[in-house]
Amino acid sequence: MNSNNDLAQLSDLPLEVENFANVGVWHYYTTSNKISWSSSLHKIYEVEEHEFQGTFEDYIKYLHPDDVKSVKSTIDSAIKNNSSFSFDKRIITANGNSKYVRNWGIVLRNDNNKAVQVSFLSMDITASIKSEIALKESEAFNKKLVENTPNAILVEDVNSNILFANSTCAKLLKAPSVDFLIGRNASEFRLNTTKKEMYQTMLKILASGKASPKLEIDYKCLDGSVKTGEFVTVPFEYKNQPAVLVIVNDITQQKKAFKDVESSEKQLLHFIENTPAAVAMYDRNMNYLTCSEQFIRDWWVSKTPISPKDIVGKNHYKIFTDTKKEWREIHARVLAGETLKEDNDFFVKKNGKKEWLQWKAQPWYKGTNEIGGLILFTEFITERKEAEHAIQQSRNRLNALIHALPDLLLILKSDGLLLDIQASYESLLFEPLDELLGKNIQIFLNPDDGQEFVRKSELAISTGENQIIEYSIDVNNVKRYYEARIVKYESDKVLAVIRDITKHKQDEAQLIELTEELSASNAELKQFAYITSHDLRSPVVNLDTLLKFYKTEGISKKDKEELFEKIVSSVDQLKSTLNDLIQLVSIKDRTHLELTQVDLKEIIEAVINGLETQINAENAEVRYDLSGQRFVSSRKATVFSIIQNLISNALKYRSEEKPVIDITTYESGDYIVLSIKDNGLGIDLEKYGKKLFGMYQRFHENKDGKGLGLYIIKSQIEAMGGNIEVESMVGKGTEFKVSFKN
Amino acid sequence: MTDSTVKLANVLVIDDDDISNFIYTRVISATGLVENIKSCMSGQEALNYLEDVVSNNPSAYPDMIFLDINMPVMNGWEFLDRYEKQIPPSMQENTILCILSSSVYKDDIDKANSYKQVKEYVPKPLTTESLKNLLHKYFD
Repeated sequence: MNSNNDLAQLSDLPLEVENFANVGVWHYYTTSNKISWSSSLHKIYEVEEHEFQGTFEDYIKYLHPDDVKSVKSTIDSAIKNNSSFSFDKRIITANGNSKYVRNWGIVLRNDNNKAVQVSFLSMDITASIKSEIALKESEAFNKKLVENTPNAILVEDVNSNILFANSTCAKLLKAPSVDFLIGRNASEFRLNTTKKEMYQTMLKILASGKASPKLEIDYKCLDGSVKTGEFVTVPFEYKNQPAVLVIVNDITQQKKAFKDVESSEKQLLHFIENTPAAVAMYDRNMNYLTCSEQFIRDWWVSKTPISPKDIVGKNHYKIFTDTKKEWREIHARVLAGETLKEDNDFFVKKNGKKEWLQWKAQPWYKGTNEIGGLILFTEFITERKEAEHAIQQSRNRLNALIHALPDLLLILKSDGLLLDIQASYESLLFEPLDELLGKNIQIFLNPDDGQEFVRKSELAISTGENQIIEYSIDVNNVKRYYEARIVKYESDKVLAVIRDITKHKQDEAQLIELTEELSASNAELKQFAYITSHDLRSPVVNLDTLLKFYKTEGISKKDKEELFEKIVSSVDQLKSTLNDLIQLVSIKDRTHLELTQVDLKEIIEAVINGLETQINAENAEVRYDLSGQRFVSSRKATVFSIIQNLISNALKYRSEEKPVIDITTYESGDYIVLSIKDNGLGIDLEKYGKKLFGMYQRFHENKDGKGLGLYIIKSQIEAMGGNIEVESMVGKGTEFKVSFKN
Repeated sequence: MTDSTVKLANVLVIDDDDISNFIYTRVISATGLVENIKSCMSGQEALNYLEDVVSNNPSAYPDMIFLDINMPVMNGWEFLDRYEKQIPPSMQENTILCILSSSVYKDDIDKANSYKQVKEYVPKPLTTESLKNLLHKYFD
């Protein structure tokens, strides 16, 4: 058979060649469906010779499942039609490795032109396929990379014509599309200021073959706006021409943000320097970036002065060498991101003084995440604390005082609204507690007192001086008196301490009464003394002189008689004064008050009898009508004295008319009134009214009597609980009204 | 017996007590140095008399006036007040007005001194001795 020679040709490849080229020969016998492999194939398929069965099915076993169908159909169609063909297939070796095999095949026919054998040359092309794949993958990767990188990528030729640009570049330059850029010159996007720099960079890198360093350059977009980018330019071969790869990182926002941060940092520094609070700003290493004047005032202990500017850059621990361990820890924690504070930190300064400190330390950030350092704020609150303490103490004292007071304490608004009431005992309140709180005090006082209370409250607040007010309230139908001391409590409130002064007022009233009585007594005593010194002395002196005259030698009998008369008269005067005085004394001594029912008729008649001579001398008429009342409760002697006094007065002070004296009695309330009326000269009450019953008063000339008469009468009457009044008009007459208690 | 030859024409005594008046009159006349002695029982009576003398008989105006303080209705002080106003100053000037009183109160003495017409404060009783001294003092 001829085909055998062809076959023999194929299977005679020497082993060395097979191994070298990684090729193998194998035959497929169509009639027997058997396959024979050369040893290379065994290597390729990683199948031991004894393991390979040599059947078509066995062969199929090693094909990649996906390729089985196409391989079969390729062989079948080749058998039908072609003589030589080639195809690639994937295999999975006995060891499980996937490989790529390329096959060239020849179909051998017999003389009947029937395909009896297919002979293959197979080549393991796994490595090259893999590298192709790798290349494709790499290309795909590069493409994706280039398309999606946030960096703008440009490829320029040596004349700066754009050969390639990615979509990021188009976006950045605000071009409508990538294609728009291709063919344009990159210099379009360069600023005048940077053109030269960029050109030179390009030349340099083309010459050196090395990438440029990262350059920050401003460029302009299609719409004219200016941006800033980080440029890296790399020499490059692109499509077989020398080119430049330009990678741009748009840092416009970054730059702006950075400027913002810079400016805000500057602002922060400026603020810190000028704030009235004590603030300091440090970097991460606790070097001072700045601090405020107050900070230095609070903390700088050295005598040499320092300013915030001097402190910049210096390390905190170097300046304050005695910084305690706790503070270092605090700094460390804050620099790690914590914000720490203490509202009431207490420490003792070097000089032993106790200080209260309020502080806060927090990190400050560059940008958003990077801690730039620490800001420390401190405030000495010692004074405040001491003031708080003092206020608290004062409050405590006040409270203790309030609770210790025995009185009633009110706290009111300046308009009188009762805010709080403290009473040591319930009885101090004139209403129950809940009836009082929240009401205005003016409701409980009479209008004048209420107004005055409010007025004084306002005054206490405005002047800061304590005010006092007295007022009265009817409590259980008894008028009680109170004294309120009003004190400023707060800017719109007052404290009122209330004392019940009813007893005090009563005592006061009594005192006034007593004082008046005493004054009256005193005046009387003075008068007594005057009388005794004058009225007693006068007659005595006269007597003395008269007796001298009497003893003088050589006076006539007539003379002697005259003198004797005068002597007697003086003695009478003396007696009369003495009697008056004795009477007065006995009246004042009230122990002899024995009242009886006195018959007025009896007394009047006795008086008339006694004054008969005078009555006749004056041609007077004395009339009496006791139908009203005949008896009075009194002393006989007193009534006698009164009536005698009044009648003799009427006779003395008679007018030119015939004297008529009318005596009547009548009841008036609790009293019996005895009226003695005359038609005499009358008394000018306007002139003498007040002095009428006074001691030693006379109202008419030329009459005797010492003027004690009315005084004595008055004293006598009052001693018995009665009183005496007078009505009179000059020229018309006088009426005395004596009231006796019934 | 008198030591002096001076004689006074008129003396006025004002006292509500008749015994006192009696005594003054007697004492004054006993000196023999006074021609006329007039006594009044009240201030009002005295004023009336003086006014009458001023109008009708100025030469009879008293050279000396003795005035009691304690009188009813118008006491010595009241009299002095009225006297000051009602009697012409020329007549007042030449009269020696003495207050006679049994009061020893300093107040009264001081008050007496406050009236410029009052030349002397003479305690009662008016004796021959005290009268002679006065006459000596003022009329020698």
